[in-house]
Amino acid sequence: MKNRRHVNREKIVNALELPKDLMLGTPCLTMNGNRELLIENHRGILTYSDRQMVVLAKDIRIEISGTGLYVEYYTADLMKIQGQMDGIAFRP
Amino acid sequence: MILRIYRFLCGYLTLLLSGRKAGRFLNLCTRRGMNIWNVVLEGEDRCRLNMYLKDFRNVRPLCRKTKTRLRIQKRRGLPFVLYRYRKRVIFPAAFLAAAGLLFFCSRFVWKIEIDGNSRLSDDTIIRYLEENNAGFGTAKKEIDLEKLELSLRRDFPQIIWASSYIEGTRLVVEIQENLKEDGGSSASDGADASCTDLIAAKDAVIDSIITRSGVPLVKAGDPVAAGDVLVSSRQEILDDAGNVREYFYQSADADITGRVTYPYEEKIPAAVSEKKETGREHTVYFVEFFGRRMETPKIFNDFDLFYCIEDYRQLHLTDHFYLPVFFGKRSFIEQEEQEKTYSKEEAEQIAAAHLNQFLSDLEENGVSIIGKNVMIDKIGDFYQVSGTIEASEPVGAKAPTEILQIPGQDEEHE
Repeated sequence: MKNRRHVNREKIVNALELPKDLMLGTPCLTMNGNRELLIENHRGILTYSDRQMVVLAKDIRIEISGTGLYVEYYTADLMKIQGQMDGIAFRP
Repeated sequence: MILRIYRFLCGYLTLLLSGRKAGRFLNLCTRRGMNIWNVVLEGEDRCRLNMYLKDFRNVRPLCRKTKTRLRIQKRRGLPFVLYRYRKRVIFPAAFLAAAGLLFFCSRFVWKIEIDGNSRLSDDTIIRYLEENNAGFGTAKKEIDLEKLELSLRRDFPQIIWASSYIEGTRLVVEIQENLKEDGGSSASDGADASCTDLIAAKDAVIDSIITRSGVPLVKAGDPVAAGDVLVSSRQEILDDAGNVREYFYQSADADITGRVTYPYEEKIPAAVSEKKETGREHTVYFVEFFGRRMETPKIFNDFDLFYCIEDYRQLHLTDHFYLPVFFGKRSFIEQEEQEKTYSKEEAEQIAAAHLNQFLSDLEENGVSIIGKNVMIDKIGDFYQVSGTIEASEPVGAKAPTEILQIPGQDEEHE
């Protein structure tokens, strides 16, 4: 039921050409190579270590694996992660 | 960079966070609008992070809730610096006083630059500016630049264009001089008299005369005295009886060159006292603030005969921000007087040098030298240099024409 409601909402946002990150609250990821990752619209950190970081977002979890990971800055809706990143996975 | 300055001004702390729920602590902080940066893991359940001072004051309940501990590692920023030096009042006071003094100085003119002058000297213009309330040390807001430009053009007829502007504490006056000798006078002639004759400017023998308009009254080879009319602008129109019926006036215009003889005379004393440097020199150094000069003490006796050279520089922070601070040195250079007697050869050399200077001055004024006959003789204590210089030069000068009444006209009317 919830998923159907989400699909409907996405259709409306697409039809009206509205920005999805604002209207749907989906996370927006920007990468510079594999050394910098900027995450907007996050909901907080779930686990935090220098090898793996799990960041919560609306409906999904973002798993970042690598070495020497650290948070350069962390505000209510913006987070910048630095380090050697090996992979990014999205889990429901 | 701006962010770093902002963080420094606000003040921030480097904290060591320990506890099992460190992640939850971070999330809670961001939910309450606290900014956190440089979060680095230091080991098992320990991480280092930076936080603003104002946020740190509200963080205690979060630590209690997440059962974490915070330890301050470093304090950085202006609030901590001010706190550390709270008892040292003189340093910030001196800093503020220096800033205030600079601000005060920036409201006055401390340097005047004159550009474009070749005949008028810098000193003349600077003295004029001082008389017109735009000199060294005048408040910038009191200087009316447009009025200054106008008055410069009005009071110096040779200035045909003037511009002035203030950059920093520098007043720049740019002028353009009228380098044509008679440019101004010819214009005024034209305005005063509608019709002009050409008269002889000096005694001469006419070499050549080419008349474009007017009636020539002399021919080549005629001797003329200064003031004689060479080309008249008045033409007589005669009737059948040979009487003057009317006069026709048209300004005279001609190229007239004449041979002019210049007398040359000079007396060169046979014995002169020459001042010669002995090589001894004393120097004092000085600093000048707002017109008050402080010199290093003189630890030497004054020379009997000396001259003084002053070399100074003005302090400036940028190219345009000059300050009323000068520093430099004054050198006293000793001289001694020596009696010297010139031999005839030496006197001839000096006389030749002076004569050449005189001739080149003449040539600069458009005179071409045809011949010279100069002799040198010893008369008593002097060498007498005398002779004549023959030159060819334009001799015509404009002069207003005398307007004559037509003879017998009144009788005719009667």
